[in-house]
This record gives sequence, C-alpha cells and structure tokens, in this order.
Amino acid sequence: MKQVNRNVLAILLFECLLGTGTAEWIPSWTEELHSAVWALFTLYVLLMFGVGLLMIRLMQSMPKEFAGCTMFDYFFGQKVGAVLNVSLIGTLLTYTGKSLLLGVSLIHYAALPYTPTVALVLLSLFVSVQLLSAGFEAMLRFQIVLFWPAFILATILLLISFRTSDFSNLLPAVPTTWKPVVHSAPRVMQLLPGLILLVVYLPIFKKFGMSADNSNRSFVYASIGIVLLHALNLLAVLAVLGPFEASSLQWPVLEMIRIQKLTGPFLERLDLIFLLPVLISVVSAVNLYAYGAYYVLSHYTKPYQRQALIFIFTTVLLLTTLPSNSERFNDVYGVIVTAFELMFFSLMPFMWLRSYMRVRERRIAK
Amino acid sequence: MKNRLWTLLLCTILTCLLPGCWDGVELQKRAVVLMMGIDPSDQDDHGVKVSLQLARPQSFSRSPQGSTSSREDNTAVITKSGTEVTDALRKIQLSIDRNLFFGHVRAVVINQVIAQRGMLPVVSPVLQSRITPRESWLFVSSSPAREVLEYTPALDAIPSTYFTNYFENRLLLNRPYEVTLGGFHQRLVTPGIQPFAIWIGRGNDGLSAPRIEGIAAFSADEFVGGLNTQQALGWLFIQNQFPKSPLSFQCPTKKDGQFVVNVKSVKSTLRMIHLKSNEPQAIVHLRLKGWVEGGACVIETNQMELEQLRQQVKNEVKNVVETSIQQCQAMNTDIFGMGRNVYRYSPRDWHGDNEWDQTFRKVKTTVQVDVQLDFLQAYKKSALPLVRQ
Repeated sequence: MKQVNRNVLAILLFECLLGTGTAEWIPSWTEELHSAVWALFTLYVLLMFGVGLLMIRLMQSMPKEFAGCTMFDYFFGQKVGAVLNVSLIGTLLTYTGKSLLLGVSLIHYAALPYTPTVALVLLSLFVSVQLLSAGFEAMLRFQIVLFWPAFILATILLLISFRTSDFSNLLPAVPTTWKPVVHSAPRVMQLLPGLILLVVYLPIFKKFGMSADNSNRSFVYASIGIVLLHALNLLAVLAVLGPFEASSLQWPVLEMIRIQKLTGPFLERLDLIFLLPVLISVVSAVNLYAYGAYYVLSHYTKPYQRQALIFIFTTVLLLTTLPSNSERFNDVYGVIVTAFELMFFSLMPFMWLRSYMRVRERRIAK
Repeated sequence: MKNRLWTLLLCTILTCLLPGCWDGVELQKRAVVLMMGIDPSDQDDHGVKVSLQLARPQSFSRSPQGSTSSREDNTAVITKSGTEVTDALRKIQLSIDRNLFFGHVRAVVINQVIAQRGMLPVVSPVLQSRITPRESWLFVSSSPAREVLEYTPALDAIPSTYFTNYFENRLLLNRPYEVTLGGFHQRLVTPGIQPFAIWIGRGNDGLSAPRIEGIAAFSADEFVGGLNTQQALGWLFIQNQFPKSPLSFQCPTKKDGQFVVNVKSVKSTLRMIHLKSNEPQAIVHLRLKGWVEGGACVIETNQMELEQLRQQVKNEVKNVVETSIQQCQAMNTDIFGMGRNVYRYSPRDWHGDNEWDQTFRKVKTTVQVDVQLDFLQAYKKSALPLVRQ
C-alpha cells in the first residue's frame, strides 16, 4: 500500500495525539496553576513519550499477522481481547461524539450561533462516512492532504499573536507550593486520549510491513511536533492574555487570534481564518476515532460491514444530537474516555510483561 | 441503479442542510451598530439608558458634516431606558424595523456616574453574550454618553473610525489592546493591577469630536478618579505606553518659553524592594531618548545648551512621574502594576489583592530618569536673537 510509509505514520500519529486541536485544556490547566503550568506540561510530555514509546516497543514484538485486530487481541487473547475491544469501540465512539460536540460548539461561538447542531453534525459525518466506506487508504489520503496546509496556517497565526505579547506574563514560572501541581495532575489526561488510538492503528501499520526503526522514528517526530505545537499554543496564550484571563475564557486561543488586527478590512476577522485549521483538526479527530471504532467493529461483523457503518453513524449522531445540555454531556463523555484511558494505562504493564514472556519463550524455543 | 438513485436522493436532501442559511441575514435587514453608550437612567436610580449609534449606509457617499446639530448624518442615535443593558437593547430592537447587528461595534462609552457604581454589572452581560466584542474600545465619559455618540467628526465618515484611528495610528498608547473591554477584563482578573480606561469629555466643536481628558482609574470595577493629560503622561511613561510624539518642556532659564523634544522612545522598568518591611519601595528607572527640535530657548546647537535642556527634561519627567504615582496613591488604585510586579518577581511575598490595597499607599517611590537627547533641527542657529535685536 502506497500510503503506508514513515512520513504518513508520523502525520497520523501527530493527528492522533493532537485530538481536536481546540486547546480547551488551557483554561482548566491555568485555573489552578496560573503561569506555573509548565510543571504539568512537563508531566504530560514525560507520560506521552513514556507510554507512546512503550506502545511502539509492544507493536514491534507483535507478529505481522495475528488472530485479532488490535493489540488487546494479541496480548490478552481472543476472549479478554474481545471484551476490551467492545469497551474500546464504546470509548472511541464517545470521543467521536465529544469531538463533534466541541467542533459544533466552536462554530456556534465563533460564527453561526443559530445553525442547528444536527445540520453541522450531519455535514461532518458525511465526510467520515464516505471515508469509512472507502477504506483505510482513502482515509489516510484525506488525513495527509489537509495536514500541512492546516498546520502551517495555524502556526503562522499563532506566531503572529506574539505581536501583542508580554513575556512577563509567564512569571512566576515555577509554583511556590507543589500542592496545586499534585491536585491538577489528573488534568494531564485531557491531552492523552490519542494514545488509545495507537492500539488500533499501530497493528494496521505493522500488518503492512512498517519496520521497527521507521515506527520509532515516526513516533519521535510526531511527539516532538505535538509537544512543540502545544507549547506554542500555551506560550502564546500566556504571553498575550496572561494566565488569569486565559483561565476565565472559554476559547482562549481563538480570542487571542481575534485581538490581532492586521491592515485593512479584508483581514479583520483573523479568528475566522483560524477556524479553518481548527475545524480541519476536529474533522480529522472525528475521522480517526470513527474509523478506529468501525475497523474494530467490522472485524467482528465481517459479512455485515454496511450495517456496522450504519451503527457507527447512528451512534455518533445520537451521541451528539440527543443531549439537551451539551456542556454536561461533554463532561460525562470526558469522564468515560478518561476512565478507559486509566484502565488502558494500568493494563500496559501486563502487556509489557506478556510481550517479555513471549519473547523469552521464542528464545527458549529456538 | 437503485444505489445510485438512493445516493442522489441523499445528496439532494443533505444539500438542504447547508449551514449559513439559518444565520444569514440580508444586509438591508440589518441595523449596523457602530458604538454603544450607557448612561444612568432618568427614571430609575439603578436603571440604565442605552444609546446605540446606527449606521446609515446610504449617507456614507456624502462628505461628513462637522456639526452635532445636523441631522443629515451618516449615523442615527437611538436611546432607550431599561433595568439593565440587555433590557434596554431589547426595547431598542423592538422600536426599529431591522435586526440589530453588533458585529461592527467599535467602541463602548460608559458614563462616569455608571462607572462609579461599578462597571461589571453593566458590561458583563454584553461582554459574555458577545454583543460587544472584547476588542471594542472602552471610554469613560464625563459628559453624557449619548452626546458622545451624536458627534460626527469632521475627519471621518464613520464616527467610530475616529476613535479607532486614535489607537491604530498609535496616537494615545503603544499597546491599544489594554484599553479595550478585553484589556479591562484582563487587568480586572490579574492580581496586583487595576484596570483603566480612556477618559473623555465634552468635545471640540470645530472637529465635532470628544476631547481626551486623560486616564480613568478604577479600583476593581469602580471608577475612582482620573489622571488629567499631564498626570497621565507619568502613567504612560511608567507603563511603556508613551507613543513616539513631540512633547513641550519649559525652558530652563526662561519661565515663559518652551522647547520641543520629539520623543522617540521611553523605556521604563519597575522594581519593588523591601517587600517584607512595612513600607516597601518602588524603584522606577526611566530612559527617554529624543531629539530637540527647537524652541524659545534653543539658540545654538552646542553641548552646553544640550546639557541644560537635558537636565530640564530630566527634572520635569521625574516630577510628572512622581505626581502621577502620588495621585494614584491618593485614589488608592494601583494602575501601574506595582502589585503585579511583586506577584511576578517575588511570588512568596505576594499575599493577595486585599493586603496590597492596604500596602500600596505606603509605597515609597524613587524615580531615576536617564535622558538622551540630540539636536535635530533645520538650522544650526536660531534667528530669534536677531529678531529680538
């Protein structure tokens, strides 16, 4: 398959780790820690690198072909793997709904307050449904094609924001007491749901012959890219708006871009231009999570793939349109996703142990 | 064939869901709001009177009339009273035949009386609902806000552009964002610094525009007093907000003469020391660079004269800065950000805004001014002595 190469894997991993790219985590992080949020950021970087590299190592210990579709099948067997996969499908669909709700909320806030949620959701899902039915390669092509324009545009707009920055807002950079850091540590999970996707996508790349060296390199490049992007977002928001204003705003990055005024009436609404890369990353997150859920589900419903597609589509539509109070349901979905993340992280030592035992058995067998 | 028909039907149905139709309002059906003014209500002690300056696009092709009495203006002002701003806005909406559109609101003018009661109850609903965007300029007016909205400046067809140009042309401040609603809110929520706004008053009839009176200082969200243009100069210097522009200084030897310095940069630093003592100290170091561009006492361009002028500038700047700080200490409002300085650089000595409010009055200030001047004049020697002979 042409699309299965190191660069594509790096971009895919980047998009998995980025999530929706709406930076809604910034207000909750700065609420307690203010400008001393870098301690939490460091924790995030360590966790992401640690867990991600471990997952890459686990993937390298897996054979190309195995009975199953995700890493759970290989490390826990078919029965336990199936149970975990069903939870995984639920979590992926929940996060798809959460991402869509975030995107819709952003569109309502920034541009179209009266457009019904169902209209925006259907339009987004229209893209995803086509990609799901077209296959993995089509989905990859879509993800890759939009990546660079969105990334470059977002980075340029973030760099422009430094025109109105005051770097003294970054002080004090170190917390005076460590209690708020410990208390805020669980909020790191808001940036880590993307690691769950690796359970699905890494075995797919392994099946198409991705080498160990390439996988490592792709993950390192993707991780460095995502850390730099998140750091740029955080630095810009803190320097321009200050930690206190940032923690009180709903969408601090959007507001920060909005106050940048360039010459002439044509470019006055920079925030609407910034919506382009953000919505691309929202749609990208929706595609990745929906495809992940579809891929796992269609493994168990092989002759009924169309029905699986309809199930995915209907579930996501219901998750996004049924709730009357989107903010409360956003929190509920967040709790579900975080719970699965915690369960997944707690399973990682067992997966590593199983991998170690199997490698040892193979050595003994030789 | 059946699949294709279903696909075609699905596509047709989905195109009906294209977004934008729900939010689309034709331009002719919009009443474009350019500025908002808020005054105290005549009917109710706690109510407000909201004035909206609406654009009359059909008049924009004609040149503006520099008069407040002319009704052939590019704008129309509508005023209604209500218990709150949103109540008054609703009444205004019901009194006109178009949808109020707030996307072009450039400035919000708050009457001084309302500002003294507290800005947040008035401004918060419109800020939260984004009726007034965070980047709208904020003014506190000593005259009724409605009067400000009725001005039709001679130099700009769109009145709100007049205010915008003050900031986009960097005539008042180097960092215009701080004088917006968003900048006001940012200072409000940041510890150790109080918000400010531009203080305006009854205007210049010739230009048909309000007059800039100085800086309106707040304690939390309540207006506590203003710094006039001279006192505001000290604030501008300390905050690194002084834009490149000429300033006049008194001649060192002649009491009735002045000389002009074209200030090209003012950089200041503020340091707080002795924080653990009862009387903390603020050290303000200011560096001013500029060109001497003539005046009654600038006869020859030599170093001796330059040194005299330099010393005069140094003394006056120091005096202006000290007066500004004393005025703010008298009003007990730290719009300089001395408390914020403590929070940033000595966070362990920061004990909250309430304690800082008690401490700020006791801060002793030392102002160190460093002036670098040079001559930049058309003639090496002034013809004034010849004329006087």
